[in-house]
Amino acid sequence: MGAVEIREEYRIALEVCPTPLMLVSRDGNIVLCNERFAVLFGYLPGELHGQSVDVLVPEEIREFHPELRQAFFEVPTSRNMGTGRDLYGMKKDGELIPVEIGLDPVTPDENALVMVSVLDIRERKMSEAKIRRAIDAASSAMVMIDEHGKIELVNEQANRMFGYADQELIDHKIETLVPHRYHRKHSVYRTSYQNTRNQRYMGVGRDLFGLKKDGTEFPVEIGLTPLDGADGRLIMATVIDITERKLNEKNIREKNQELERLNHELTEFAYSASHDLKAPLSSIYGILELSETDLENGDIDEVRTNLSRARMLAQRLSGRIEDMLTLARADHLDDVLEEISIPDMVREASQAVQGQSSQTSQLTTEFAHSDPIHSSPTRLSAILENLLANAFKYSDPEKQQNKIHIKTWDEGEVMKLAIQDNGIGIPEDHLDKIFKLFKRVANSNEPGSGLGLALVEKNLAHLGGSIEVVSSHEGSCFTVSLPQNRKAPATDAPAQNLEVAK
Amino acid sequence: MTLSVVLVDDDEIDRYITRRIVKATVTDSRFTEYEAGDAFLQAITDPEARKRDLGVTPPPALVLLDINMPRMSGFDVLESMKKQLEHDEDLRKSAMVMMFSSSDNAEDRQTALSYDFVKEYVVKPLTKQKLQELVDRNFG
Repeated sequence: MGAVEIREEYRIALEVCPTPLMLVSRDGNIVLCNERFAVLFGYLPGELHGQSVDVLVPEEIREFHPELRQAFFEVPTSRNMGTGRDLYGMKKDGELIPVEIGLDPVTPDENALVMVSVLDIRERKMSEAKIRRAIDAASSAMVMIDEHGKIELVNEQANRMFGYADQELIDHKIETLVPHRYHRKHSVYRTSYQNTRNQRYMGVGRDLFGLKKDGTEFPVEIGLTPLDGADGRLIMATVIDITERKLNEKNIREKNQELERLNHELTEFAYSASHDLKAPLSSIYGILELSETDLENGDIDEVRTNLSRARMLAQRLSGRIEDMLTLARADHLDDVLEEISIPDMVREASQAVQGQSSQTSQLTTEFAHSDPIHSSPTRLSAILENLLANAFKYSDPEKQQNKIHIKTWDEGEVMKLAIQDNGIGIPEDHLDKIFKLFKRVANSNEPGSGLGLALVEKNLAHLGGSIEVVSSHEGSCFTVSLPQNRKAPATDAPAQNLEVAK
Repeated sequence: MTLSVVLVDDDEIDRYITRRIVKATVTDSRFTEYEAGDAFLQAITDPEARKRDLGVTPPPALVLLDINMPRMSGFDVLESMKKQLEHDEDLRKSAMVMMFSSSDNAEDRQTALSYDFVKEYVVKPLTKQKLQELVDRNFG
């Protein structure tokens, strides 16, 4: 095909036109281009004349370009090139610039020419990119859908939140991000929303969930904003993952319940404590009042008896106060761990207890653990004294001889100590209550504060140990377990909550 | 008329105090005491024990019931009594209970007085004056 004659009027027309333009022949040669065109692509005026248009085509599609060009010339019509695709032109120095290209056939004959107008859309692309960056920088996830529920735009946060790759969600239904069980309802809600199209939160009062690509669900809060524009009736949904908020709410709720429980226990404690402290006092009051009457009547013997009763009551009261203080202090004891000889400690404890007890019992021992052990002497002696005191106190008057047997053994790293008595025993339905504060279950006239076993359990908890009890009419057996992990003694065992008996 | 008075209290000294006050206040009384709630309940359900302790056709019987007792509290006793009274008309007509406790707890007072057969709530120690007022009010 020979050179095409270009009329001078064409040349002048091209030069005065503000748009970069070129004329291309059917075989792809640049017949003419204006200066604006040459400048846009970095060429000198006239430098492009006679060259193939393919020099302006990015390398990766240069291969297919002749075929596309041929197809165009078969049915030449005025139109935009590559509708819907991003087009780039290549400058002389290899730089790619985003362009929009218009094609207009000029002479519909053998020597057909096509007028190619090229629009530099770099600025538009840049402002688009700026908006895109702004959307991606938003802290909440954003998903834009069209009026049919098709996803048009997803920002980075949304992709990350739902676990999708860039562009992966585009053109999918919005229900992709909604748990399956809500699909049917969701499309109805969506249609209803299209009728009101107001800016509001989705599903106020309901718990909303998002569905990730991996199938996991998470709680969300969603704001809806209608966007009306040339692109149709769009909806922008901003999504906030409220997993953490829900978790915090749950934590706070639990903390509150815990506080309420503790507060309730404290009230119960105050109730029981005031009751137990006041009871001996009011008895003393009553006794003294009677003594006044007896004195007036000259009944000195009765006065004497009553004074000793009052003294006993005062002693009981002082014991209770002491017990309460001991219990309160049990949480704040400094645990100094020492080597302890159990036989020595049992001997000391039984001497202390027998000194206070009105009952006599035969105490036998059987030590088979590895002595000494490693523990807190303060706590361990409190445990032993309380258990022994109970064993002495709740003896069975029906039995010929009151017996208490203490035996010890090792069970792996745990030292076991059992105190077996043949006392009155504990009714089975009360076994679970005996470690509670102020709970006295024994059918016995022996005075008690109801704090002894609570104190035992608390001290054991601090030593990382535990206690078990079996009981029948034949007597009771309390078995203490003390872990003997000498490498890491349990000094920081969590303090036990006070459980106050009703 | 002889007033039958029943005392239920686990504390030995408190029983002594109450016993003396009842005897000094109500000159014509039949006084019976129990150390625990279940023993008392058994006595009012067992006709023989009842005949012995409360009389055959029970005269007005005053039950002095301590709240704070081990194993079975005064409130536990009230619950059982309530069931017993449902099918025991004689007892329902005659028995009246006075709860007493060493602490003046509003909630306890309310709970106690919610039983229609509980007429009084007295804070320990019981004194002659308190008992006299109570007897005058209820049996005068």
